[in-house]
Amino acid sequence: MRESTLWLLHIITGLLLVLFFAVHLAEFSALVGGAGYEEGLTYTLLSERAQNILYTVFYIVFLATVTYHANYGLRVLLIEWLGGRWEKAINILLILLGLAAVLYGSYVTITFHLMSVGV
Amino acid sequence: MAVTKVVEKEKEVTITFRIQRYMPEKDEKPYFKEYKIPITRGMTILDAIAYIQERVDNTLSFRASCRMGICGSCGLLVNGIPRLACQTQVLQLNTTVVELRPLPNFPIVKDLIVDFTGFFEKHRSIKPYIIRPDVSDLSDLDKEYIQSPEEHLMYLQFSYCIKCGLCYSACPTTYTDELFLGPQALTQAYRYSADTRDNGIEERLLIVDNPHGCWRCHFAGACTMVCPRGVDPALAIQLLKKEIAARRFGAKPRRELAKLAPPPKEAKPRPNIPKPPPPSV
Amino acid sequence: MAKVREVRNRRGLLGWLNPTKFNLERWAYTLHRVTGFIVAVYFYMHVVVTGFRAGGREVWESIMATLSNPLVHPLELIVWGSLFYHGLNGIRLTLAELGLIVGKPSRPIYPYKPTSLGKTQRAVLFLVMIMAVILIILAGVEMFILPAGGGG
Repeated sequence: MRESTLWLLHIITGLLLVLFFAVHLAEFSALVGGAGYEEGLTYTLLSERAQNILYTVFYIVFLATVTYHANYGLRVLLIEWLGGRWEKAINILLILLGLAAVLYGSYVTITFHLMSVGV
Repeated sequence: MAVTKVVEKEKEVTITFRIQRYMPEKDEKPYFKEYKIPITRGMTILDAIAYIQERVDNTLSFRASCRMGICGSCGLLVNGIPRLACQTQVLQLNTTVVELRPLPNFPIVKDLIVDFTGFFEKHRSIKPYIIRPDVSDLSDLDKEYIQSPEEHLMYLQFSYCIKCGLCYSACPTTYTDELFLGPQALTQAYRYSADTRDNGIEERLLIVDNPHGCWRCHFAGACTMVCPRGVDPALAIQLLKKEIAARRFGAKPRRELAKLAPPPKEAKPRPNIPKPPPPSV
Repeated sequence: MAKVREVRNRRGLLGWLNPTKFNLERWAYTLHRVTGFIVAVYFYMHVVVTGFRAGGREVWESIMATLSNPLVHPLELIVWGSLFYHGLNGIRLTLAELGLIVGKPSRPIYPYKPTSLGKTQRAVLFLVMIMAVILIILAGVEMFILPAGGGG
């Protein structure tokens, strides 16, 4: 893939993340409310939130966007630091890491949604 | 009123120069040597190192040519900032110790002399010349291309580059990435692509659009800060990225290739202009 | 002839981390990459930690008890600050890299005033810095002062 495609995706995901992060923050503060953010983050509350399918979908999209943005950023750092050495290994490693994060995160979000709906 | 001229004796200040020395056949690694020399107002770093070479230590090596900021040979790291030695006055620096090192990111040949081979190779790799669909255009020396002043201004600034390597040694990406093309080569890629006489933009954009091309610039702006000619490499690289991004989104740039001007007709000189003397050679 | 050692003279990673004597954008560059790295590391930790919810109530409550530690709070503030700065500066970089705030090529006349480090771009840079500082202060108040005030 041409570098410009990857870079443009990086920019687009970056701009999307500004939006997604604002939603994440707003949703999180609304959830926790006036309580301290650790005391407020109870399991019951999380379960209630996870029953909403919109929440589940949003977080999977959010996760994929962050993963791409973060891994492209890490790739930039690494290939610049190493000056082109082990470039292929870095690419493969970061793709695997990203896939693992997306798959694990989606698995958790979906299982937790099913658990909450089922309970 | 009579004009009186007061001639003051120029004040001399003693400045310490810490100069990095390295003789590859002899030394394990570069080391610093100190020289204390008298400096008067107006003396440049180049004057100072020439003074040291002439009167203090004639083993000191440096490279310089025009001593007026045109040739771009005398780039040095002066107190941590890449500068042209001929354009930096010693007293302007406002320090009593001046540290001189060879430009970073270039291999050291000896003392303050660095090897520009890789730098010029990168410059060459982006095809820094006008590419025409019909090569015979260029060989016909009687013809010229039509270009408006506005079109000229699109690349004029970037064509002032003297290849002194200061931007290349200031760029933080170049600090670690040896494959990165560097601000100079990328700026020249934009300079030739923005020229309306040139038709090689597609070729050149493909060259710079690689993992160590223009996307490794993150707009640190150090290149622009150190440029002694006001070229503004950071601007050129951002415009290069904009050009590629626009093309990737399918925007077709509206630009016509500059046409050849019709051959000049018989010109009549104005009546009151004297004739040139006959050629002497 | 003695063996000639090549001195590559790259500044390397330490030079990259050290923007002293250079322009403001160079400082913003180092900060942007360091904060990006912090956020990326935090992101992976966040995925792992929030993943514990799938283990059920007991697992979640035990991990939350571990993390309710006064030592974690300053680290979290660093992550918040990094996020705010990285996001805001990312917007500035996007604008610059798409050629929107860097100006146009002009005839360079001494003393040179490069447009890419000129007024528009600097104004955006200062705006970014000020907004990031305000957000970091707000996050600090939210994190340290409000809970201490007895709000709980």
